Amino acid sequence: MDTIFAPATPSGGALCVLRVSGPDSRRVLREAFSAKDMQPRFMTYGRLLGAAGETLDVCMAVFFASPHSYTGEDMAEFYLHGGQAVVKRALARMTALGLRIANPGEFTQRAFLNGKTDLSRAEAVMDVINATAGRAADAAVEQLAGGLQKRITDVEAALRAVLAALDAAIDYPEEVEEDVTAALPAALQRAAADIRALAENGVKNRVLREGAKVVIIGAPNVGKSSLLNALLQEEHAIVTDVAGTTRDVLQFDADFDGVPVRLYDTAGLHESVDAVERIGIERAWKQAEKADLLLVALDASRALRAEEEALLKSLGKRPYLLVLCKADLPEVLSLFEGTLPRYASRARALSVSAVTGEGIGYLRSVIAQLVCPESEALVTNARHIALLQRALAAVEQAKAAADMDCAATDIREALLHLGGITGSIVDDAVIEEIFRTFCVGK
Amino acid sequence: MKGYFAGEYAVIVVGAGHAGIEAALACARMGLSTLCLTINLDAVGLMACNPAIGGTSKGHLVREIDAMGGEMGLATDEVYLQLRMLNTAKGSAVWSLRAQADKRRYHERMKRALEQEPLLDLKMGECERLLTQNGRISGVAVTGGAYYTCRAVVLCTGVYLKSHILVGDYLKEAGPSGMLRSEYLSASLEALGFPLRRFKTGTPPRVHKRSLDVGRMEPQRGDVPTPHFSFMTDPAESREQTLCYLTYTNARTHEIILNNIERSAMYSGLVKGTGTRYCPSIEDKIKRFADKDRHQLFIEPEGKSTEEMYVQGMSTSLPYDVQVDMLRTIEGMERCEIMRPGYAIEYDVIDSTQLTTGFEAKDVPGLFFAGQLNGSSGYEEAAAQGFFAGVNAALFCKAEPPFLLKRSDAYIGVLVDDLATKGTNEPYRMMTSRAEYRLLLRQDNADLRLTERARRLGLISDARYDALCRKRADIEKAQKALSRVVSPDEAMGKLLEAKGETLPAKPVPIGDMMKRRGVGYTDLLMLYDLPEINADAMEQVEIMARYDGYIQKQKAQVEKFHDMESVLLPNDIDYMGIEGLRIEARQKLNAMRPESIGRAGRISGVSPADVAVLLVYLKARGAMEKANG
Repeated sequence: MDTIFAPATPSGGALCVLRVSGPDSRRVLREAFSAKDMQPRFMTYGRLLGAAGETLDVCMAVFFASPHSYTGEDMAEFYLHGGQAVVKRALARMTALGLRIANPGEFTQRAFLNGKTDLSRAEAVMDVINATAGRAADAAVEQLAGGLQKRITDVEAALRAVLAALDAAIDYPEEVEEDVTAALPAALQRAAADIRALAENGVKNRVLREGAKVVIIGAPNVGKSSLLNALLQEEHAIVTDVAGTTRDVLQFDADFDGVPVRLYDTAGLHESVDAVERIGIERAWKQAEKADLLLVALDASRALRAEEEALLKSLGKRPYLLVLCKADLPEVLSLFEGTLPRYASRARALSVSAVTGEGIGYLRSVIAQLVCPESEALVTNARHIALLQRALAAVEQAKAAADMDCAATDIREALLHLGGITGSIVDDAVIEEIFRTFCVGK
Repeated sequence: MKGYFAGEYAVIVVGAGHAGIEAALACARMGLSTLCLTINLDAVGLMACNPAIGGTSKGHLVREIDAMGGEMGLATDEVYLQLRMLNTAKGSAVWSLRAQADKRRYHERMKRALEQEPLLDLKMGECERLLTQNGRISGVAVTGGAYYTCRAVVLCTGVYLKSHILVGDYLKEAGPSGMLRSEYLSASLEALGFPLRRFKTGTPPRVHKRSLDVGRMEPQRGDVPTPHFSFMTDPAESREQTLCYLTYTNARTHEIILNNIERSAMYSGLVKGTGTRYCPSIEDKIKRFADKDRHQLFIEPEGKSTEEMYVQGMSTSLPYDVQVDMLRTIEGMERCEIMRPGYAIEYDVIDSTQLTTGFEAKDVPGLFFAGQLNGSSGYEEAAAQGFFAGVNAALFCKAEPPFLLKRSDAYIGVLVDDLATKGTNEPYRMMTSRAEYRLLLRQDNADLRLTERARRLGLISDARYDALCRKRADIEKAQKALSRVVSPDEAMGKLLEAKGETLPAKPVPIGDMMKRRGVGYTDLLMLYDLPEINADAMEQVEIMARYDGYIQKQKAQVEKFHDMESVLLPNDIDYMGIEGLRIEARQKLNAMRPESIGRAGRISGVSPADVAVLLVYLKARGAMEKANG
């Protein structure tokens, strides 16, 4: 059994209880807590220590000796200050100590397996596991919305291509004529840089630093401009016209619930024969490609048009939010009938009126939450960051590997960790890639 | 029963191809009376496709079969035309041995091995029907009325079940290379509850050597000194090796193929079976990789007693005239004469997920399956399965628990687990990329991994076992000596400098120096007091030092993997009734009935959360049973 950890309290509180369970719990206290000779089940005051002995937080800790603990294993609990920075450092420290972040429901599962809960609770435990897994998946999807998912899958694709090339050369030494090692160092360097950026900054920091890119798209005259104005009003936003783009894309900076947002208004997306307008539409699509969130504006007072349906279909996996404008007019387009629910079920959708202001405030906070998730993200986030760090270590090792088979092993490991975030299965995908990319086989 | 009783055996192996040979030999060598039935005695060990054995990952399989007392490695070492170690620049884990082999001599060598095996009868006969009693295998009926009784059957029918040969628009109901096909066994299998599918594979044309201008092709030589497959072959064995030749297709070749593509059986709709990406036809390669302006072709001898040359890379089901035209566009083949045209072959296969990890049918005790019938491709994959299924059929007869190989034990373990757990939708080929513990499963240590276990099965001769023990003792002795810590000195500095390395600052174990590039055991032997050891052992010691970090890491992964493999799932679990599982997982688990938690997790559609739920369920069930007592 390995030793696992996870915050046991929801993030954002004044306190964070960090729970550790497994045979290494004593070692964790010995190496990362200042107080010595702790008596089991007594709360001790001390300092959480970093690898160099520096203080990460002044806190309390408790040791529970097996079997007298929640999971039945040796356990440690830290009562930390709840600030995000502190918690983040503490979680990073646990990872550095070789601990693994707990899977959904894993503490409960261990408790049950060690006979700490009685038989009548078995079903409840099973429900907890799958429900928590479901919730974690929801949280992950939510968190992965703001463009992070694409960045991880990009790294994944790049590493997969490298691995497929190595494996193709290994499995088909006579048939792969390309020199697959030539591109290797540069590709690994790039992947390492990308993963490092992801692990160190995370999406939230980037959003806080640069502002989230939110692009409004939709057919002409559905109320995009009114929606934009309504969103910006009350917020006393600084309206800036970006030179050179005034004809097609307008950009505004705003602050929604403390989250900096960069709003882009685009030309109406529809098939146009007018050359100028067509350029505008192309630019709009270009903006849309890079968005953290797309606001798809629809006119609630009329039926969905064919080109709008086509637009919805083309959204694919991009993060988007359906905004039904003109809620003050009689409703023709419903979120619950016709074809719309098909798209609305994949993303959140809501109704607003620029005239009455209905739904605008709520829309702002939904946007803020979607581009900069705050809530349950911490656990998921910590798990992701831990996985990213492991992936990074593996890529670094691949860079240093002397032989192709070792490098391939390291890259496979990196992909396994990334797969823990994205859910992709390494082996099938790599073999798929080998036969897609290389003409091999006798 | 109609027909006449023709004899009683413990095991009957149906088929004497690469799977059947290993299965029959393993059973007989484990002390069981064995009958090996073949549709044609002249097709024993037939290499119906390429005249080669081994290659990447396949070479690993041959070494593993050999390490457990199988025949393929020994036979290949006797009849090779050329031997080459592939991938020597890519790291020890993926070194792979490949032989060009003399097809006729291979057949003769294997036929003789079967004939000379004391407890084995080799007979010609087409298995028509499987006989069962109370749901268990009880014998086989042969066309013409004979029937044999037995306790276990190993089916190794290769590509013979209701096979079609296809060349252009010509279709013939025949087996490979003009052999008869098996007409009736398919129906018997379906009646026993095995739904059948159609798979397809193909082979290139063979041409007459004198019609080639090999002077304009690139010669391909074998390795000197010669490496061998078998751990028992004298390492000093060496003989003159035959050349292969490399040439290429060109734009003209591609044009002819594309102009005639609709005449290919593959593209005209004549072929119904699922082909493989691992063995694409030249039509496929040109269609799928249109930007590639040439494809390699290796011209390989079929044997010493024939002028037939195999055109590797040119597998096709185009009509004969197109085959002639396209070959004649190729450099050095302008006047080539085809002796046998290439063809596609379609055949029946079972769904391998109906098998246990011992390759026994889950629902028919005593019935074992191996080889292409399971959906695999390749001689080596077939032989590995044949050996494995044969051993398990023998253990079944002895009422002993099955012999299982895990993914961390051997490539054979990966092969078996992939087929039995994941199944396959196209002919399955072994690849080193399928082995997640590739750095541990090297071809050089197959004996260290497997010989001891096969010894317990009674398959290892004293000579082979003694060789293993000597090697192990040598390794142990050397490692002990290498662990001695020495201070950096002038001699050490000289050695390291010569290799472009710097002197360590602190005292180090002698063995650590082998982690540096180019430093071998023999280098250290000159500096320090180390034991003289065999070359085999020396290779192991060097690899262990060089790969130390990786080996430790993979070993840790293996341990974790074992934890999950060792949690067994009883066969009578009602997965549909486990509320915590998602519906898809319930259905998949119910259909597959995996033996262990680890295996359950590898079934597509079973998530890590489902695995956690299963663990909880098992515990609850255990407690309940204890309480009910």
